[in-house]
Amino acid sequence: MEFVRKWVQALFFLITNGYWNFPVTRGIYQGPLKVICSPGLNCYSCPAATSYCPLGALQQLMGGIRLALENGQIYVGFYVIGAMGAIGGFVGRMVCGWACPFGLFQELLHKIPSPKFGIWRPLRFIKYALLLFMVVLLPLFATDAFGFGQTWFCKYVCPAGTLEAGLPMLLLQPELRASLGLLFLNKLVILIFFISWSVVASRPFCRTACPLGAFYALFSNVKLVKLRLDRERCTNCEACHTVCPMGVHFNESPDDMECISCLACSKACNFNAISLEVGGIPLSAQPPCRPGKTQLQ
Amino acid sequence: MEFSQIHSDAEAIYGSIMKKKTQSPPVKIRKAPFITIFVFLVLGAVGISLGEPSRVLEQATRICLSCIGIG
Repeated sequence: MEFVRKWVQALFFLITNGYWNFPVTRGIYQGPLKVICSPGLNCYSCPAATSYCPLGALQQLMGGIRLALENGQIYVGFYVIGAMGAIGGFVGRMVCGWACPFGLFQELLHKIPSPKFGIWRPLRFIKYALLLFMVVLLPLFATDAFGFGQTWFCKYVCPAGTLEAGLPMLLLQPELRASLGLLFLNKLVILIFFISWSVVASRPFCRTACPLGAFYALFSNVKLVKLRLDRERCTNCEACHTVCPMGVHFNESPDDMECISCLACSKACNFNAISLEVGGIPLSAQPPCRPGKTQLQ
Repeated sequence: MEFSQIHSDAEAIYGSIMKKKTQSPPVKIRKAPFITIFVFLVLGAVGISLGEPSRVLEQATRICLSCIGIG
């Protein structure tokens, strides 16, 4: 299943970054596909991006609400929130594990041989604060003289934007290098920080700072596709604890908001206690126990 | 009561317990995901009717340099 997941991740990476003419045009894709929401974090200023980043679009809309309403236009983000919510309702944070290019990037970095460390669990709350303040409240209320809010998260934090858009644009358009300043340095430091952290810890950005993951996490109890725990089969052997890339203790909290449904725990479970379900219907009938394995009492 | 009677009773009880345990629980379809998806699809449809996609497209096809830390 891990093999399939890697292929799905690669496929989503190629679909959401499918504009390969950018070395010729030296700009970004400007076609009609950009009206489609990318499920994962994928900067739409990336030269290869073919869809819009839900976080970037949401901040732009939040920042422009006041101005739009003053001009009689009711642009309040229903389209973007509707797309994000529908994705969240279908699969929730499964997007992080299966469709996010930046999640794939962190996973690949984590394969670099090095000492590995865990992440202090309370740090996960930072991403909810970033979602509330930098994606919603600040773009909405901290407006300039013209009544327009900034894209706070994109501008000051987003390492995916620096990696996928900032650095490629500087390569494609050398004249932009003259306008680099402290802002870019700040973003570069954040990117290097998360790259280094990803080598020694599993998915640090997803776990601590991704507002999109925080948004999808809100759907953990109501999403259509989710993992289910069969408590009759579970022996609390804690095999699922050691393999989870997000630090979830699945046998203790099957609806954990951090779960990205990568199925690592399902593979590690010797008692077939973890399976995938769609709307309450299990996707596969589980055999009682794997052959050759002894059920603990 | 004879030992064989007790033994057969115990077997019967054990058998019924095991039968209950191995029976798969009835499948219960969760309604909440369908309601959630429907609500957000309606929200998206409202956004489309208000013309928001053109606004999103306009933003997504323009490079926002300050948004990526340049300028």
